[in-house]
Amino acid sequence: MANKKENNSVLAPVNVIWEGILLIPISGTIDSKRAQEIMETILKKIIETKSKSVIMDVLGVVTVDSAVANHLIKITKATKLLGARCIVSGIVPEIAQIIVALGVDLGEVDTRADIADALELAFEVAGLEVVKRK
Amino acid sequence: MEEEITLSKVGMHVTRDCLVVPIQVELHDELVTQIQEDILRRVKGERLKGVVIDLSGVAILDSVLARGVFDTAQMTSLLGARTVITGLSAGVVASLIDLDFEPGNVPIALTLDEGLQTLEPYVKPKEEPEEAEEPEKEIDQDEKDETDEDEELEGYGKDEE
Repeated sequence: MANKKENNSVLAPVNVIWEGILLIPISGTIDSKRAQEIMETILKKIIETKSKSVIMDVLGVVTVDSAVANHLIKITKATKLLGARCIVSGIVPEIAQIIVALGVDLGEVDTRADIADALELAFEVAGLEVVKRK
Repeated sequence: MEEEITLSKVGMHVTRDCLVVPIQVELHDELVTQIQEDILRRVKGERLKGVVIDLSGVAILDSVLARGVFDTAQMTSLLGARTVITGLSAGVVASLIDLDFEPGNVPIALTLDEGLQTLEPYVKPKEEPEEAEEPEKEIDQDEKDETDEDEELEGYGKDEE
């Protein structure tokens, strides 16, 4: 049991990368069970940290098909019900092609290619600015 | 047929020009309808511009009940008020998502406090005391017109001295 817990958290750890901003790098495969677990972890963490932005990085996800896309969409809808905004990052050109070809409607879900871009958006949402020291 | 207005068991109070509705009891269809009517009546009667419905005391919310609550938000917007829904728990969210519940574009916040913050721009601001500057300005200008030359000379005079 302990191993299983470790395994899951290693594959999708939830990090607070800035106050009010969570980062979840997801790797491996996403089936409905994992998606459910990931969603529950994210929801708990949002409530615990009162985060407004959640960056889900899917660069390490092996297969992105319509089922996986729907799992991701579900998670973003769930975060919305907690007043938070989900940004999916790690979208590479091949994935973008697959998603569009599958006719998956990402609708309101924000997506970005890199975590850095997603972080920029999260900062915007939080009203934060990065300024160089003088 | 006159019916007495039956108030729901849910207490509602106005704070910071917003109607705060903390729901601490388990909901059922009739109660949701009653709450809806109470809210709409108060929003209209007291000309309120903001409503926060806090669901942190609710453990179970099926899609029908949720629909009732979220519909209330849509209804208040038709009355010119804005409703924010707060306090959904992780468990409630997970079950609503499973049931493919669509919240629409109803604003949602995590806590009651954040809900009130979200409403601030939409709620009528407290009346500020009228600026007294303008009448004074006029007087100043009149005086200035008369003494303009004198003042200017004085200023220059000082420098030269």
